[in-house]
Amino acid sequence: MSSEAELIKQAQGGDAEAFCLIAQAYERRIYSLAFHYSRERQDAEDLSQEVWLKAYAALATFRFESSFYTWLRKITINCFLNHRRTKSWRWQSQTAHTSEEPPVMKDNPGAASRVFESALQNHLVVEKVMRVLADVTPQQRLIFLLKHQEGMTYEEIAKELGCSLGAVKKSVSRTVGKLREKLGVNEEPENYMSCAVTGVMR
Amino acid sequence: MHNCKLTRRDFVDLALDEIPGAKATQLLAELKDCEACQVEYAALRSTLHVSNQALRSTLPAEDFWPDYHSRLQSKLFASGIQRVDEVLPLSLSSRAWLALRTLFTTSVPVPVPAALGLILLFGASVFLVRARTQVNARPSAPVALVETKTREVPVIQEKVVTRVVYVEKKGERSRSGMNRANRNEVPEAATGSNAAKTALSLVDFKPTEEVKLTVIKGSYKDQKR
Repeated sequence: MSSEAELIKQAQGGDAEAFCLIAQAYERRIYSLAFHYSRERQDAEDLSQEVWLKAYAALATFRFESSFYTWLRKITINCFLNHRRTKSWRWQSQTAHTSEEPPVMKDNPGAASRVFESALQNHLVVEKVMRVLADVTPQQRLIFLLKHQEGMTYEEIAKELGCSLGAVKKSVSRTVGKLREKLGVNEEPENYMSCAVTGVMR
Repeated sequence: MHNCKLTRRDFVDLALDEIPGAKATQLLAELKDCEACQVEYAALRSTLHVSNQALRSTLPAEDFWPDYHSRLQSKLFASGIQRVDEVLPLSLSSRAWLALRTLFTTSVPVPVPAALGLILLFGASVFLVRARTQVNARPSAPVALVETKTREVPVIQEKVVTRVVYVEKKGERSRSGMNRANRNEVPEAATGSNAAKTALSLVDFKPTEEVKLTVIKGSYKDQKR
């Protein structure tokens, strides 16, 4: 039995510490999904923690028939959908992250200029992407995130959201089309987001 | 034959690995032959790559996570959630009750037209059942007594009587006048052989071209009179 399965068994037996260890392994993914869905830090934290609380409450129903993350993702999606029904979110075009100014290096003006340029470019790209996600409906955003970020198949998404396969396809296509239009990418991806993964935006 | 518009329709699915192997290979082969499609597909892939990187870049920095985890931990311990396993195992009656409750609370997504159709069908059936019940329950109306009498009514019958009138010709008339004279003169000869006279007179007899028909109308009673 793997360590994750052992931890799950322990958590099912009432060990909250074991559950916290499981949560530690997946909390970034859940938070990331919640953040891109809600586009607000505070909402993302509330939403992701609600997911964990619900998962803890329903842990006994996990029968090891699927992976733990698949089961957890189902809870996440239900939580998102319920949250959307009960709360009217503030869908703003700007987020706390994207409104931050790019950093400036004072020691080396040349390097600082290059880093600044790159950071500014990344900043603009991130802002454009977030704006597109703000423009689409919450359902379209969730479908796009589940497909693009979570790598779920169209069929899985349709099953989870209770809609048709065609609707999922159309939704993804529409969001990607909007991204394509907004970003206007015509070159190799290497020319974009050169520092995106290095955390310049933070 | 390659159709750019049709091929580009599948680009999103192809870029997101949603096209099965054989079709994906065929599409990629088509891309090799069409430079415009090749550029479009590359741009689409770049868009997805860029957006993926952009989304990743928005995640909080490393120093965010310890605090987040401690907040989650404290929430978990403070929540005092009654876990599902604490309620289990359920008795048989509880399980049956739970199953029954699930049966009545579970909702099934139904397309709007189908739902409308079902509602209309239900409404129509209720209406028909009610209408039929009302017809059955309605007291039967008193049957009107109709006395039937047979009365004979005289009906006027038409009877056509046809008579053939034989008219003598002019020459014959004069001859007959002479004969009449002869008869007057010799009445014995005329009365003596009647059969021979008749045979003689019918030899030259020809019916007239003008026939006057008289139709006498009247009832049976009139005729009797």
